[in-house]
Amino acid sequence: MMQDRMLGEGIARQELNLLFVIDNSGSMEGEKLGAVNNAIRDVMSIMPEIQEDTSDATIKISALKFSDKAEWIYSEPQNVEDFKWKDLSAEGGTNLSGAYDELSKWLTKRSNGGMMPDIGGVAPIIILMTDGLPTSYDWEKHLESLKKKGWFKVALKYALAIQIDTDEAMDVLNKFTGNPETVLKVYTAEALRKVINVIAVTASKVKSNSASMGVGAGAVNGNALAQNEIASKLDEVEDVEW
Amino acid sequence: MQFNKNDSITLDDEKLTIVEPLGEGGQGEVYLVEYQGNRYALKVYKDEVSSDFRYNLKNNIDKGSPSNSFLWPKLLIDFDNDRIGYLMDLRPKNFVSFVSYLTGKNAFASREVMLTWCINLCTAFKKLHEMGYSYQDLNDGSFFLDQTNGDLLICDNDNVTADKKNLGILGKMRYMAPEIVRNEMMPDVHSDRFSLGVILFMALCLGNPYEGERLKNYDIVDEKAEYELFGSNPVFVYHKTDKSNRPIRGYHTSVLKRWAYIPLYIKEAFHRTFVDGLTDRENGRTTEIEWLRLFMRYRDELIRCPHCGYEYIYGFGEKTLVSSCPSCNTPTKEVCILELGKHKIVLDLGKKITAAHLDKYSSEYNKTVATVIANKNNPSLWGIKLDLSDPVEIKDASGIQKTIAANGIIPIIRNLKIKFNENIIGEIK
Repeated sequence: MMQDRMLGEGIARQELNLLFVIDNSGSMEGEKLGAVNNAIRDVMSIMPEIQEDTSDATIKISALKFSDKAEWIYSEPQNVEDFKWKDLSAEGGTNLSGAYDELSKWLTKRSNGGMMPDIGGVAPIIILMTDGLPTSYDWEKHLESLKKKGWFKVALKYALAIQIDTDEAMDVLNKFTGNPETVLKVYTAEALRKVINVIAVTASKVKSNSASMGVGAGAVNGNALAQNEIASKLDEVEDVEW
Repeated sequence: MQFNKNDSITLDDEKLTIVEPLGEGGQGEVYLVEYQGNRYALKVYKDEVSSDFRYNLKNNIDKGSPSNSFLWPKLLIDFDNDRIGYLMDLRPKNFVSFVSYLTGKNAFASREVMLTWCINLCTAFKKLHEMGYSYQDLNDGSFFLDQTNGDLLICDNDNVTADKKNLGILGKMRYMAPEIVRNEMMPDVHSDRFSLGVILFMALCLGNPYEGERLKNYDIVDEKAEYELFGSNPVFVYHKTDKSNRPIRGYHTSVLKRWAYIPLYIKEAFHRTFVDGLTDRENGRTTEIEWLRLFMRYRDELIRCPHCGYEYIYGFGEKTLVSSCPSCNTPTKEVCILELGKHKIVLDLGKKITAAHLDKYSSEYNKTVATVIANKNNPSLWGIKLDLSDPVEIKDASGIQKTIAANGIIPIIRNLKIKFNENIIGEIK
């Protein structure tokens, strides 16, 4: 019997980009980077289910590592099933400026040389994780140009401060997210693994599948809803401050 | 999650055991449970619900399901912490999600089966509306399908209320009627009808009726973009005169490909709902009974290409009959037509005659009363195998009459008249 169409032919979907930005400088060596590596594997094992539950959006995953320089793990955003994680190793400095420059390029329409969709893109999710101060002192200048990107402005941004909580370090991360509520201090490897999981999974789930709206509810596909859900889930995780 | 594996809850001296969590949505959590020796799905609300919501759910449970297409709440449960939940049957394993159909992971066995599913969907909403209910939140996540036979299952029935009553749900963006998006009205039967049109369009065309060129106006699809595309200024992608929002080549590929082969009368029905229905919500939107007649007509005129197996329409409602297969160009095969009142049924192998063909008041659109079969010994000889309760009379062109038993076979011969009953006389052409 002939099917009603070729399998694989489907509806045109919106595109939701999830970006991990990972500090793999020397100080991340050991437990911290181990936790990050584990967390991303955990997230990727859950992602197919989330993708399966929605016809609204295709989820695309990207990862940027930065130490002395910033480098993309894949040269373009990957589908959930194609994104295979290779454990990162730690070495070098913390060139946040380089990471911001790469992000700026990435957060540009494809037709203009970037990686964001020309049609049907929804606000991306960016999760930055670091354990130290940038060794590139001009990071603020690079952040300024990143902030001009429309895709950056609308992105749901989280920053994880791993075992650091100096005012100076928090200032760097607060400036990145523009919202102290989405900067989290994480004290243990286990907490780090859980936090990455909660943020990446919850945000992807909420933003890839718009919920039914109720009376008086505001944004449904939006960042606020994801943020609320993440906040309620993080209540259960210990050794996190936010 | 509020419960863990193996937790047990006592309900009126009966034990309910949590077997395992099944999933979590915005509103609640779902568990596999055991109760009175049977397995059920238990939905538990995360937050306290209003007394109106609880009363409505209880009332729906007492009134019972409109049809077996609904996975209807069966038993209301009040928990100690002021939360409520309800038991429902488990979704049988043969059903896959409509979402998985839309994304290309699953397909119907044939176009005929897809239309059977659409007919089941319209029948279910006809019954729901006839009971005085409105569903209020039709979206891609509510529906499931059996790919082999077109059976339908409708989930998430807890927002169903008496029409014109509202308990707070508005619906999902891209499925909601524009007047709901604009916050001018609350969901009711008429907004259900709009959303039903969207689901049917998606089933047939694999796309959203309002997503086209105008998507290019927005760098990012945000709340504002969605409000404009689906609320303040929706333009049907195949609007007859306003061509500003046509599907985008290379992006809305499925819609472009599939719309081309949909019968004109179905296109008209979509146009009515998505153009006239924007302003005339009560009379502009194609109703369930209208859809049922149209899908029946569509299914009746399907023909299968003998060369490539592609199913397409014979073309009774088109400007000219379809002379060749749209997929491989093989000329349309010679076939007999059964004219039965207003119905024209292309007697291709496997074609079904249903109870609704023989009785215009019947709503049994999928109850087969006869099927076109091939002779086992001589496959080029076809007949209509009956599955009726009474015999029928046939008369050939020379006037010879014969009685065929209720489970007998009528030979397919041109100019043969078939008298199903006093009122229903068909003729093979």
